[in-house]
Amino acid sequence: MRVRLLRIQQYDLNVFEFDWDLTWAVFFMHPDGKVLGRYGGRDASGADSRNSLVGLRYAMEAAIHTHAARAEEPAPKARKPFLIGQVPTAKRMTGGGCIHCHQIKEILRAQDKEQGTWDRDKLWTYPLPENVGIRFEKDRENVVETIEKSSSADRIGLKPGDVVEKIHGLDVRSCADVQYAFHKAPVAGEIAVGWKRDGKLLEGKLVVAAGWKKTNITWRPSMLDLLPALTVYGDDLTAEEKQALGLGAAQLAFRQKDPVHSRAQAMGVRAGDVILGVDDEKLNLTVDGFLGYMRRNYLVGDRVILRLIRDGKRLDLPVKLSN
Amino acid sequence: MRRTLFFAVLASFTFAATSFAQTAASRMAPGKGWLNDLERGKALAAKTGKPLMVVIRCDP
Repeated sequence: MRVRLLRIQQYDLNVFEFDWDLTWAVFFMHPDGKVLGRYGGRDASGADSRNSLVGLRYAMEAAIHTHAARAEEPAPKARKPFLIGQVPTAKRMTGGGCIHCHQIKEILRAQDKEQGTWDRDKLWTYPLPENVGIRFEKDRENVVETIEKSSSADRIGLKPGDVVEKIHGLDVRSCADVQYAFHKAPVAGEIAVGWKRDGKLLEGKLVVAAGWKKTNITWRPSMLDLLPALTVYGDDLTAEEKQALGLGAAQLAFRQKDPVHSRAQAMGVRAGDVILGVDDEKLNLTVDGFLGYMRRNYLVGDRVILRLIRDGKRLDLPVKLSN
Repeated sequence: MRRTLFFAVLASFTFAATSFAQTAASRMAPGKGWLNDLERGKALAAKTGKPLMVVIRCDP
């Protein structure tokens, strides 16, 4: 039975809990409302980066199997529905009009800020399996393709070909399932994982440290207002110019062009300054790479030290990032 | 005659408003075997013993 929903505000977000930055998501459900599985998910490289028709079929067949096995189970308990339109900040932000999925995150973030419950860790949602060192196959999204050496996954003995069946107590058959399970997992500590190898069930606990959920958020429409724009620009120095300044050949170094953006002027940047980066990070990047790096690694409101060379002398400028 | 013309104009506006309220994608869905009503989908799924595939697509 196929159902297509176009207006999220009518539906219970306790049930339809997914990465609301996505423009497309699939739920496989029992008629009693129990979620049997999910499909979808993406990363910053593109909307279809994690999806394929073969993968959809794989997840669908798993859901049909789960549905058949679940027929005798009791229906889930009814809960009070969570409708986004009932959140006070929703009315103010949308005027009672149509709410797009990504606006759910904006509405909830605004509510958190009003209530003083917002913290930066809440930005890192739906982490990718690569965050713990697992790369899954694209067409069988719970089958391990590669394991990063010395990663959390490597330490518990996961290997290519293993079929991961549970993460944090939740069944996983797709990238969306995996991201959902990691989303629900703790921000630091242990995450239980169960997998099959040669028909044998194996278990282990991933150990994750604070910050493990951090991913590239530059594709997320709900977070565009949080991405900083460092308004400096210019041409990368040549290898000879870098050598003359005692810099490595690959090290970031570019000359600020004229005219200087008004915000960069306010930061203290002048035309001709050679910009070397921020804080104590030694970056092997071009100017374009550096501007992307800033959007991937910092947020509006963060304070950094802009390192530069002016008239042959090193200079540090304290900067509060904005967009 | 005037009354007929009035109702004809009213009907055409109503039709146009209904058409614009839905995008091409949402109009197409029922024609391709998709339901736009979750509760109806659940009822039909329960009746036929099948699971549901619910697609959430932000309709621009």
